[in-house]
Amino acid sequence: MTPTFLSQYVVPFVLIVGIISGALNLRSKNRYAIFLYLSLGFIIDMASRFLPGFQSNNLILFSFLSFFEVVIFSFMYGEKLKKAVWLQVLTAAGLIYIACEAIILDTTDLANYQTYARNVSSLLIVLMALQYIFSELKEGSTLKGDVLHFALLFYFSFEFMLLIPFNFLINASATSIMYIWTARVILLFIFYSYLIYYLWSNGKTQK
Amino acid sequence: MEQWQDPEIILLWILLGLGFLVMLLIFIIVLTRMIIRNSIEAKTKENQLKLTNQQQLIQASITAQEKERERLASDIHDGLISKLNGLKLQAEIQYASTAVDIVNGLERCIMTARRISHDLSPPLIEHSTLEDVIDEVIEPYRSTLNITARYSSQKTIDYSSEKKIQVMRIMEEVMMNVHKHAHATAFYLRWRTFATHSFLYVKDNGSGFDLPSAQKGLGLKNMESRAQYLNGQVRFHSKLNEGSSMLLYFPNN
Repeated sequence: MTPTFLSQYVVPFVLIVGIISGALNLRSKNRYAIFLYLSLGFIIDMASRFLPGFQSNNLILFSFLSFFEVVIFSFMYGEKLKKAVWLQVLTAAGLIYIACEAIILDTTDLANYQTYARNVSSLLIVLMALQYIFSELKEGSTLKGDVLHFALLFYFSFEFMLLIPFNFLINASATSIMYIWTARVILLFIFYSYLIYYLWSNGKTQK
Repeated sequence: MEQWQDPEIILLWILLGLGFLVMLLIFIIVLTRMIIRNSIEAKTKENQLKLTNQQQLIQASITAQEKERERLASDIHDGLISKLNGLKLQAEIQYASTAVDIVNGLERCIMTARRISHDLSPPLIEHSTLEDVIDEVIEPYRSTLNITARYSSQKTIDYSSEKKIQVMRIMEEVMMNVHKHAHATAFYLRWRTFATHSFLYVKDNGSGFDLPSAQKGLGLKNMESRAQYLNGQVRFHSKLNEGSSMLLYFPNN
């Protein structure tokens, strides 16, 4: 299975499976958020295939994805965010930054296109997950079986690290950046698969 | 020149990456410590709960045992002994000169029944001191054993009847072991009462026993259960042919 095949066919298929299994079990806030997140992923995936027909590239979608990702996870961690004003302020500032960057950055000038929207959104989600984990631990929980938040922490930390040199990733020669994009696609595939497992297993135990 | 070829941009990326990694590492260390701490606390709580349940079970079992003993003692005392006394009186009145043996036999039966009744539930235990209770247990063995008993107390403590009974049962078990199994000739007993705890130490010069195999037996287990009932501990020490000793301590309250 090549990375191209994985990104072009397998990932959208996995997303569709996730959306269906999520739609069947929308009984908790977490599952609702994951369902929205997978739907967003699917919309972005589809849009990235069609957008180049109207525009020179689909880079603007990174900003859209980042913005709505933060919105979805703010909704998911809403209860815990209420207690952390600093994180609320940071989230609001992050959203403003992502929106401004989407408006200001010129996506046609590839040589100078360097977005930090993905890093900002990943950092915010990592902080939200950490805030959640800390507050749970402070309440005496051992977080046994609570893998979702650790999965988010792990995935978005990698996402943050991988997408720092964005300009390099879109301008350097294909051979030198192939490994990074391949790693990202594999990571994305594993992450989406886990989210589907989460939706499916939670639905199963609560029946 | 593309941005990624600018050394300043590369330096910024490196700093961003390193900064994030350091932050993550610090958080992971703190998180791991908290998770381990919480897990240990949860495990300790679980173990404490188990221990409490076990202790409650032992207490319930020992209480039930003592109640049953009391019931039996009362049945023997009020039922059997009364009837035997009646029979003895009848025999004395009707066959005074001819049935001396029967009257003596009945007298011995009454004595035996009274002893069993007293063993099952010692009368007036609430009015006796713990030293008296211990003395009463060791008294019958004085004829066969060279017993040295020493009592000392920093404070006069009014032990509950339940505590006295448990100490008495432990002592009964000890004395039976010393007499029946150890074949000891000398026995040393030390009872000390401090402000918060009481200690009972006994030692004999008997044949001793193999501690690991003896610990599987009912006798030592019963003593341990009774020590747990007292919220105390019991420790045994023994070597074959070198005698044995036991230390019991428990809180006064």
